[in-house]
Amino acid sequence: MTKELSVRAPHVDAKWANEFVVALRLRGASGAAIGAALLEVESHLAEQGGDAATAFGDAGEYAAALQLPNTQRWTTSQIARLFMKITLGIVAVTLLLAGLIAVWRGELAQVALISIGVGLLVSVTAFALLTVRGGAALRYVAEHPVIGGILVVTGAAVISGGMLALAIPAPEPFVVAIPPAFAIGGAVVLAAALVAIAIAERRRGAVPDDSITFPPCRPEPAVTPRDTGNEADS
Amino acid sequence: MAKEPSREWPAQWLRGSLSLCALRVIADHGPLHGYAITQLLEAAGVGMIGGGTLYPLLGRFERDGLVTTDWVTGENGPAKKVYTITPGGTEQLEADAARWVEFSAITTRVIAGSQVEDRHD
Repeated sequence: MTKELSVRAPHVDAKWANEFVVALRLRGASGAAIGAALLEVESHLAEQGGDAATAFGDAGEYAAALQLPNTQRWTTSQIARLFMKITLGIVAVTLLLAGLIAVWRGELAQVALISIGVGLLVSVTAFALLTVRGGAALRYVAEHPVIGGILVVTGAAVISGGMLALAIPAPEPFVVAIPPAFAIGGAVVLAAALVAIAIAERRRGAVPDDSITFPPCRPEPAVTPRDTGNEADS
Repeated sequence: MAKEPSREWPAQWLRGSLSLCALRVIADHGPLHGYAITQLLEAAGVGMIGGGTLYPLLGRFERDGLVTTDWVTGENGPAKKVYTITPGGTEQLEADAARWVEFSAITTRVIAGSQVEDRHD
């Protein structure tokens, strides 16, 4: 648990709180909603005593039961931007590899377009699945460690296969031979473009800062609550 | 309110009636925070309701517009989220409560039927 969480929720044991926060994050809850949910657990335990697992049960199950809104659903525009960045990244890596190999061999850089296509297809699919449905995927892995582990290894193999496809020799019509300097220069330009896009997105708030926050509180009114029965609200 | 001894009721019984009980407690005694609601329910004889059961229910009340919430701080205690019933919540509570009384009267009659008949015999 981070220092601020342990300060704001001192009655919630750190392990439970960590599992709770991670489970809510994986479900797409906002930082504000997570802070409020954790503070309510703290408020309850501060009065009742005992540990969180006894009062609230399993952290993951409690996080699911709360049914907090998923605020991390991707918009079409966000997905389009993600695909554009992945494409730029794949092309940049392809150009860089081809350029470096060409420099080493002392020949023109052989940029295989079909390999770029295969690499793009596999990588975009894998990354999109992991990114857009990442919460569900990670939650599944967390809840089913054995099956999840097998799926993760298989997924990694598929991604590796996609990356290896970049090196598969392509039929002649799909190979473009360019000077190595152009390939390496192109890769540098694309990498710079990716960095510029990332900076621009952050500046205009396209990548929101959704850190955990706690709700503002006002002083408790002098007369509350109505007729609670003193024995109950002490 | 006289505190009755704490009892354990079958979970499936509570599942049907807990939302009405909690909403009634908020309506009659609110604004209340979660722990105070559990204390009032226990004092009324409903039993000890765990946080893992109560807070998801309160969250549903909030999403459905039956209650409003506010965060307050006591003099020494931690921040508390307090729940207050809305006019819509009151309306739904009264309608559902009336239906529950009717339903429970029927189920009580059915469940205790043979005993009642025996007494009449």
